[in-house]
Amino acid sequence: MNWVISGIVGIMVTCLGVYFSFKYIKRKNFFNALLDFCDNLEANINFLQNGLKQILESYSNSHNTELNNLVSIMKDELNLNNKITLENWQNPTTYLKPNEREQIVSFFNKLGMTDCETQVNTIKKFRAIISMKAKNCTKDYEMKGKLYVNLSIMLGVAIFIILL
Amino acid sequence: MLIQILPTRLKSAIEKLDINKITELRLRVGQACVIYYGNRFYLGSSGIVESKEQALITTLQELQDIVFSACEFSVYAHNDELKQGFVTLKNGIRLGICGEIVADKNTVKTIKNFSSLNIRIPHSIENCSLNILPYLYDDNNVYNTLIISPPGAGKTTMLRDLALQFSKKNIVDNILIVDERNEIASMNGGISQLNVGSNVDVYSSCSKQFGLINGIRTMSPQIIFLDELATSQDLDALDYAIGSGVGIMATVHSMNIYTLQQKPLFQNLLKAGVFDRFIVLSTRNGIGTIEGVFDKNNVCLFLGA
Repeated sequence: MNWVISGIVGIMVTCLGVYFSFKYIKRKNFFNALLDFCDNLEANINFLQNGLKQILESYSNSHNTELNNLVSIMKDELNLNNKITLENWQNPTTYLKPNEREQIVSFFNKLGMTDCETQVNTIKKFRAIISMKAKNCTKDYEMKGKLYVNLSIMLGVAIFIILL
Repeated sequence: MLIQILPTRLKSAIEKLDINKITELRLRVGQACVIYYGNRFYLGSSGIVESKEQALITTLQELQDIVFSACEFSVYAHNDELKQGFVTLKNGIRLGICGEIVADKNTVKTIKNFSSLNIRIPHSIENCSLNILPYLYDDNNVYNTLIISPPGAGKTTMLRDLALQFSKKNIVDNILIVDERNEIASMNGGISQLNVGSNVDVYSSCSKQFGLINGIRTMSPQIIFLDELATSQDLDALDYAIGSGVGIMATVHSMNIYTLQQKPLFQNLLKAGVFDRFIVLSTRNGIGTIEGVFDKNNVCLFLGA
């Protein structure tokens, strides 16, 4: 019986560590998806000059449901002639910092507002910021994410041994 | 479509009116909204008001939102129109836009910080040209005709109805409309939103030079309709068309033939006797008042009421 209880507790502690490390993976994936979205936007605005609604309609990222959710909110708000706000970006991603969410909402609200050249410049500036964040996320994941996993495994094993 | 682009405050005021009677809406930042509803009035929260004090005051945000909506939330996709100071909606409603011009080496790049809007709602008034139609053609040909009027007196409406009547009565088999601002036929997805007749081909949202030169080469029209002659390039293209033996129905901004003759740009054209007929419109008895039809010797052929 002791074996089973020790095993379960050890596994739970390990899972907790893996859960914490997911935050870094999710951040990394979200920012990478946002980079992909920026590239898509730039191509559509600069070369094809498609309308914003058309671009948003055709965009879908199979790897990131959070970005899809944000794009979908943007589409709904445009149809209502409204702007996107932090309040209507529901289910806020816990892995994003408040200032990052503000930055993203502000970027989305600038879309379509100006001429092609200014739009492309805005996208490029935002892309540069996001690209930096994506790189930092990769580093964070390498350092902290993996550390959480390793520590939790070690802690799980230690608890397992102690309880035995 | 007008309702869709307006912000809530203006929308609820307009909804109290008969939209078909609105011809123009003028919005200036910090100023009272002006509406042309038969005559000039102010727009208040309850609809038409006569005093400025009761009128709605347009805000900068409202103006920006209207332009943004009119551009289908994609200003960049409408920048070519915006550079020329207007945006045309799908049903032919035209937004004239004033603001800060952003230029680079004498080339207009865009307009920003919008300060005022002139929203013009086109109306198709069928048969409005019937009284003057017999003076514009004979058994052999259609006369080159110039419609002269001050802004907002119904030039485009008259031109549109002439195209329709030429088609309806089979006076001409092939008509080409060069619709630079997409106001005559209001093409949307290849379909004309306003009735211009069955014998008509339309070049929309293109320059008069392109439309005239390419239209003659590719569509073989017998007559070309075009709105608002204004630049020397327009007149050069017109020269080419007339030299090709194509008939012309055009419009120009002026009070009457005499004021037109004073404009240096048009002096050579008028001296050369290119146009056989002149239709003069005014707003004396309301929009679209026909003052008269004159021949190239200024002889009055038809006198309006």
